[in-house]
Amino acid sequence: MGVKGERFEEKLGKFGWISLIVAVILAIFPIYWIICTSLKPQIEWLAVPPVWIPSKLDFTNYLALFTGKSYAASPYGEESFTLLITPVQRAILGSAVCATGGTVLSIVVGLLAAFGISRHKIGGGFFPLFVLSARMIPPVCALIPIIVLYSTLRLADTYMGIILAYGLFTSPYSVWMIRSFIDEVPVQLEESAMVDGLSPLSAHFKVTLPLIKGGVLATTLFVAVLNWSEFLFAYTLSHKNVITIPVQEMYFQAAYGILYGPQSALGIIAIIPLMIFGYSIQRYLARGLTFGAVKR
Amino acid sequence: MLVACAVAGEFLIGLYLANLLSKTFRGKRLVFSLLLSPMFVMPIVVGYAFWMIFQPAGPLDHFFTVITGINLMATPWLSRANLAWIALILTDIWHWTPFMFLVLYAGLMSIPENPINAAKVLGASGWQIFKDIKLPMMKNVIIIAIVIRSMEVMKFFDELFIMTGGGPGFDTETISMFTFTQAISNSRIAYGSTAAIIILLISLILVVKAVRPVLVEER
Repeated sequence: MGVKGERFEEKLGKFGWISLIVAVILAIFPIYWIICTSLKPQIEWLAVPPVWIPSKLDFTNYLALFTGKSYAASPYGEESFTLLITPVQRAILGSAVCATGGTVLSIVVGLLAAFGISRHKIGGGFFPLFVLSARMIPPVCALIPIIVLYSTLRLADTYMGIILAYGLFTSPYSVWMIRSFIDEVPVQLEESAMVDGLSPLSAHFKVTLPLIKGGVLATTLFVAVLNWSEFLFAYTLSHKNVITIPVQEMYFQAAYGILYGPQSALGIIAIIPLMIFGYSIQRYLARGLTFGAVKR
Repeated sequence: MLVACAVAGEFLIGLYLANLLSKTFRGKRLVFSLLLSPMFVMPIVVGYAFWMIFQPAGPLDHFFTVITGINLMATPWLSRANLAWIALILTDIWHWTPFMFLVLYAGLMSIPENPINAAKVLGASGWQIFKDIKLPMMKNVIIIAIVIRSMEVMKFFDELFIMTGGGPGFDTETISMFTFTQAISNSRIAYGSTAAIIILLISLILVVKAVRPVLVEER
């Protein structure tokens, strides 16, 4: 990272170290708290004073997620309600299908649009901005027309519907991010390939595409991360047939109490792929999040 | 209000951290990765994590009670309007400071060496270098980061939905939450759409006025 060599090496002072350590602790603590809660037995979830370190490693919460289990609504046995957990395999599958579908759609659209914008100046200067505005408005705005539209088209509560919505809402990211990669490849390469007899389309795909392979992969992972963690659309557009992890998380909040343990366990399962994807595209994150404006 | 506080907090912390990390020390890569980790947690899970943390008699209360010696165990973080705002702002700051930090760090790293070295030779102090050389040279990056973050905070929804649901009462209602409540929960599609149109107009103005100059002229 950074430029090596001529930079005067600045050393980190004592104060700097302290504030870094505090920052790291603050950054990690909530994540630690989820992990910790996911390993606690029910009686420790809401104990007063809070249990900072679980007494023993207890994986029943994780087990309950996959096999189903009923919890007493109160760990002290005062009430007779029970809270039932339904297995979450469907939610994980649903999330995987929706995230993959949405990502593929978004990348295909993004790739083609990015070539169009970058190489053929389609739509002039305004079009890219128009694409971008889809990302800038709060998703709630678009939600209402989508709901009305979907109920007419019978797309509500189907995988197809959610995949379309995801593809729509992440394509601005993929268009702008892939475009920033394409812009870095000199257009002369394609021109010389065309002189050698390739059509414009095959020049794009045979010359430029291999050069930006890494960038496209990074964009894919980036978009996948966005789709995987999406909540609003999944929550409103699914009722029975489709369920994704974030929506499943909601269901642990029942009328008689909240199943903190399984909820946290599912949370941990859900963020593991995000962490893996996120760290593997660390280099491109700044570019993705700023629509390609900041390059490293 | 949410926008201003959250973005300001994120910016200052992010800038400070980016500056610290531009120095060399052992274990830098590890610290860098750890600092980025909040960004990878999905918003819903962030909502729940902080919901647990802000519970009365939860870890946060216990921590303060132990530190200060005063019994703060029953602080109603999420059911008193002002405290709920603070809780939401802190949550957003936690979740998105890594973004600021990452972008600003990228900006800091792309500053050429020569002016800094020249200033050092001339005897400028660390603060002077930071104020007079690094900040002006990072201006573009800073504007981009702040504009994008402001847009994103406008859309702040998932954590809010989980943590307070716009409550207590309607005290922490943002415009997204309002639209959602009206259109989906109360099934008043037309009313919700009107709110949506208003948000749309505000956002479009912001896009054209703020985002366009930044993003388009950058290339």
